[in-house]
Amino acid sequence: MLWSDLLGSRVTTGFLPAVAAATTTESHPLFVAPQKCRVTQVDIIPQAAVTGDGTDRKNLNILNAGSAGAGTTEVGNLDLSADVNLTAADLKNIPLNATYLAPGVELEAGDVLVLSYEKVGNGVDMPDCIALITWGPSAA
Amino acid sequence: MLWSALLGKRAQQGFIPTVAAVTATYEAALFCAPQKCRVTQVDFVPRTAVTGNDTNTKNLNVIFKNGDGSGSTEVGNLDLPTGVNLTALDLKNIPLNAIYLTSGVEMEAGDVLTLQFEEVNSGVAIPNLMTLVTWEPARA
Repeated sequence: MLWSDLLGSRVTTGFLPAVAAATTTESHPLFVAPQKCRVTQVDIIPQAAVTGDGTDRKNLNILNAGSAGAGTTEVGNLDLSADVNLTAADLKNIPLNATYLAPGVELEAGDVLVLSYEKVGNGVDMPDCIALITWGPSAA
Repeated sequence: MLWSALLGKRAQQGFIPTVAAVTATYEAALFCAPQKCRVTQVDFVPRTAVTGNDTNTKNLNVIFKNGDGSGSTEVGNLDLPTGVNLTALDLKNIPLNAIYLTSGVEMEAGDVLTLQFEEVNSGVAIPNLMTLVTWEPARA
């Protein structure tokens, strides 16, 4: 049996650099599917705390950029609205959208997920984050 | 069976921060072999697009540094001349040199690969990169 055939979840870590409050909406690479797989969970660990706000904030949107970098389907999101805060060095889940809760996000080898920092109002400073992407092989 | 002995390819994600056009030739850590293994593929996802140019460019060279940082053997490269562009959020391969195409780059535990950004004339700005190094165990 090959490692790629072994069932069960793996966790891939990634790094997301800080984004200034004033930066307009921009996307950062989050995960490349190393094989046909499904992503079942996405979490981040912020380097510093972030206080959510109803007016000036970032929405953290996970987009499936597909195989050419052009896809824009949102598969998960965490809006940092009032009372949705990030604690420094504490794991925070970015929920997948309802459609993807049961099977996960199906990806082909080479497909890319990105994290889009959507600026709302004046935005909010986002610190460096470690990302954890939980995935498992899916049937060929 | 131990995980380290299970055959088949794994992929290791990494992050390399932006390199300015004017930065002189510079190397960033790309991969450290976690065990005796062979690297069979190196890819990356740029955060933004890059337009290749024959005169002012960067050559992206994968360098084998041995276990003590002293090595300088180039094992793969992607030059960015006119017509070789990077698309934002799209996976791009750095081809291994011909002698490594069949068996990959053989590494001992602790050996390091770097990504060298070779400045050519005035260079070109390279954005944040998410890197993906594909490797598999090699026999002891």
